[in-house]
Amino acid sequence: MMTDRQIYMGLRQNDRATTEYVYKTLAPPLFKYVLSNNGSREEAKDLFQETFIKVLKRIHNDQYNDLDKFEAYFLTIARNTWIDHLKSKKNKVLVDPDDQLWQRADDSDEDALLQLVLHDRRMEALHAVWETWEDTICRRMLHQFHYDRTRTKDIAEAENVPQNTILQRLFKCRSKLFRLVQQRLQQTT
Amino acid sequence: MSVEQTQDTIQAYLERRLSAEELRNFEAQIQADPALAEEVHRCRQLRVMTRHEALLQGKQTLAAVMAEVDITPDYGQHRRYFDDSGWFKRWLPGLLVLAALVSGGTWYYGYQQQQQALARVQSVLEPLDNIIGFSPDDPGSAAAGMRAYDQRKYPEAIRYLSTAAQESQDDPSLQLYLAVSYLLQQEPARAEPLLRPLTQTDALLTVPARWYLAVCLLQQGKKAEATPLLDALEGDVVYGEKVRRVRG
Repeated sequence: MMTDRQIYMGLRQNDRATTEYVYKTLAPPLFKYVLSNNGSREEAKDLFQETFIKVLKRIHNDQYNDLDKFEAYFLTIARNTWIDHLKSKKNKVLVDPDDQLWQRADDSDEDALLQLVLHDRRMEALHAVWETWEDTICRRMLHQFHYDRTRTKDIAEAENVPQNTILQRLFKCRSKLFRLVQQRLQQTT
Repeated sequence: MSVEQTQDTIQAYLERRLSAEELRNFEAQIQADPALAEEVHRCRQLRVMTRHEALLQGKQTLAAVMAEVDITPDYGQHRRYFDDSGWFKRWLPGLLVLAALVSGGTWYYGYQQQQQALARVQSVLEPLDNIIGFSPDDPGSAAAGMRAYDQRKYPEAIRYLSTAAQESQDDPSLQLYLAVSYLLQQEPARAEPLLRPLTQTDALLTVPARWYLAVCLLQQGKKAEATPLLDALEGDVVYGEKVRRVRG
């Protein structure tokens, strides 16, 4: 049995075992609920997927406090999503194909910014360059700073270098990355 | 501080962890420094992009798990999260009535408080003594306006003083008496734009202008804006007592 903290860390790090645990634990009651309330098995699967992604977004945006009971949190979101779906069943598609799922609006600014990933040329180029960027040192450092939100002081301690060195490396790595983005943009226009 | 040195501040800014003052200062720096602005923009893009990547990977992992694991629908120990019937539906009408009573009572209390506050403001609202000397025979609008003001004929005073204030835009005293006339006629919205510039000068009329602006704001329910003005006047030998009365 996993604790809420373990689930939170595992999902944040995209740990497969955690995802499997969450699915095996929470899909059975969720499926039962949908099937008992005018739903099909396909709709139950879609609901689980949509709920999972909503929860994952909130974890990444720090809107989920890992002290909250994960099961209650997850199943409450699922139930409310299903109730909304039943209210507008004629018009609403529960899960859109591929990236349209990401366009479901929330109240947070982060969702508005997320839309840029899909629609802004510079962001598309950034995404493309990032996926194939072979500079693993820079990639790892930028991921640590921007995604894991590790402070420069902590990175410096872990690397056993002065903080100033980390500050300069971050700046250089970012400059390097965006030079590549600029080159890609020029190639594709 | 160079752009390299501001990494942690940029991160705190994007995560909304800066205090109000730090935020103001940092935004001013961004405005003044295009290189910093560009760096902030890049950091924001990287932040969004790494999160998007993590979400995509999470979605892929889930899809793989769902394809391999078979599920048997069963509430197990989780039934309570899906129980739609029961006590809530039975108690709902009563809860709604209670909520209506509580919100009505709260509104009425708030309304009473507001009326009492307005009554206190009215009790301290007095005309400013006329310190402008005009000859009784002076035919000008300013003189006519001040004569009406002295006689407490405020609609007439407003008519003449509006014209006079237009003609003598450099004379702050006319603006002030016009504003006071509006306040005494319960037209604070017209008084406010006249009073605000008068509170910024360092002149004889500044203190009364601040007092009347505070009254003007209170009449409009803008208590938060009035508070710093009242705080500054509490020690004033003329207006201090009025401030204490209006605060109740």
